[in-house]
Amino acid sequence: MARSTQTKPGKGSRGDAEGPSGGNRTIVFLLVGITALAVLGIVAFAVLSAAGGEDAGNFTPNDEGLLPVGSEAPSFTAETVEGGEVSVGDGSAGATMLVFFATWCPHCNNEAPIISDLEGRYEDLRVVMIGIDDEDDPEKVQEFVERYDIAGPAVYQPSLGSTYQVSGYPTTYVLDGNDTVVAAHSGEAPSSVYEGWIEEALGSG
Amino acid sequence: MAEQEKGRRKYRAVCGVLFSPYLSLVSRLVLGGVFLYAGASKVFDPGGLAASIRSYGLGLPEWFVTLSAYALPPFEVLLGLYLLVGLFTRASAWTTNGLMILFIVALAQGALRGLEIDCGCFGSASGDEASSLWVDLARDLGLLALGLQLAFAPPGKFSLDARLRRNRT
Repeated sequence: MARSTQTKPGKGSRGDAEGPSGGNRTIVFLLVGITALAVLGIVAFAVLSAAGGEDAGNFTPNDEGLLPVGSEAPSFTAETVEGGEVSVGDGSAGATMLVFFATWCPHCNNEAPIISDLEGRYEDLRVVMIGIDDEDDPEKVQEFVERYDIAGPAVYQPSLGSTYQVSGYPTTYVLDGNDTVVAAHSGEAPSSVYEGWIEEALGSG
Repeated sequence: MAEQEKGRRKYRAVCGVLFSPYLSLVSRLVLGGVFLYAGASKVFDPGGLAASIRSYGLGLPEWFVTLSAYALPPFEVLLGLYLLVGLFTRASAWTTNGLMILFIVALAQGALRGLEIDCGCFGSASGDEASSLWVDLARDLGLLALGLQLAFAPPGKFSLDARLRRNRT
């Protein structure tokens, strides 16, 4: 007799109330086992990747397409929005933080107070704010850094965006004293993560 | 009496459509395809996904952001594959529904707060431009509807589940 005759009429019509039979049951158990292993593997992989809290070493930077960590930062000299000049690549700073931003970008505005705070806390850190967006101009960039009390040099030079392979705002590079890229990240990041990168840059400078 | 019979017929007709194996097939292919694509587009860029999650401004701890950035894409790929072939369809559908509800809550709060962000649903393929969270929300509600259909309807004769459940006579 077929097993289907043992099922209740209402459920039988739903098509999946009947369990697998015979050899199919072995296959189902095997598939359940494989699925469980796959899920466990994914969880283990993710837990191992996330383990250790939220310092810079365990932060997952958004660095796809950016200059790689360990590479030498392209050198440049640019006129600041206040009429001075700033150079990157001459080894004159203990550590340098390059922040590519747009004045209208909400994430840049969220992050600006953190940048200002970090600048005040690390004496040997030079923060260079770099406006690269077409909708901005030197006046808007100056107004932005003044609003957030960022004292470091600020420039408006859109061509630097492609030099540093910037594709989103804000993008931050932390360079050590030899102008080597210690960290690259697009998007916001917690203050503790920036601290870790800056301290690494200052230590290896 | 005739009215009742008419109502019953209407109800049966609606059930017939909702529980149709063809509708289940369409739901599986659409939902599975979207999940497979969404997962595959993010699986090699956990940093991008982590940045997208942070941009929602939910104040999530960094360990959770990283955990999600590494776990979610392969999990979406797995669910997508299972839905496409119709394996463990109901369990997969309920799991996708759970995820979809989380996405909907995140998108709704972002949309209500007026965040100008990219939803991060399909990795960096969607570009750096902010997407409309309301449109993303509507899409996810539609996908949730497909997921609910799969969760309540039988997997249908075109699924692997149906093959495995076929009785020997």
